[in-house]
Amino acid sequence: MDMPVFVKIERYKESLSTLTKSKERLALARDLLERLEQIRSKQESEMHQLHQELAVIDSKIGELQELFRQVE
Amino acid sequence: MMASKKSAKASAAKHDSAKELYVGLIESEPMRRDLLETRKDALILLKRVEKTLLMREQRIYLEGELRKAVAQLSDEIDSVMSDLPELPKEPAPKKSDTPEAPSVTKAPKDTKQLSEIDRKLAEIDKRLADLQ
Repeated sequence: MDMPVFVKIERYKESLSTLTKSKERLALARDLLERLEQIRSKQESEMHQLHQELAVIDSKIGELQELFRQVE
Repeated sequence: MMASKKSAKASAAKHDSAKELYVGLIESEPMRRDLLETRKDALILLKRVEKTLLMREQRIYLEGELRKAVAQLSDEIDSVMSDLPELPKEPAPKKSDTPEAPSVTKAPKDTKQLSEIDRKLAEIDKRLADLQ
């Protein structure tokens, strides 16, 4: 039969304080991860915009090129 | 753009030689406006590219901070574990079972460095799989 085993922790208070710090550290890590996800999402949106703007410039340059060709 | 096309055609009718037409095109207001507009678009694009570079830097910084926080977390757990007396039936995990703190990596400069990073990543994946 399994019986609970009580283990004396040498430095109980220090361990408790360390675990509290760990919880704070975990919250910080979670916050950092959220910020990273936000940046990644913004980057994806920026990339999409870059594609669109490149296409607009490409079309404008094409039209200008066409105008210059008419001169030749 | 369409305005400048019409203007170009109108100019073509007015001018005899190609040189005169070219001058007419450049001097025409719609053409100048189109060029300025395209230049403005290119400048906006440049700013957007600069923005993505900054975002990349921001990401690298935050990833570094995250790595630091997780490494500290791991140290804190180790510290709590070291305060626990060892149980006779379940010995403390062997040193090889605990993951090593990842080293700070700089941006890869060549393929050799990249393959080294790939190797390290595979090693970390294996360690993670063993731990799970």
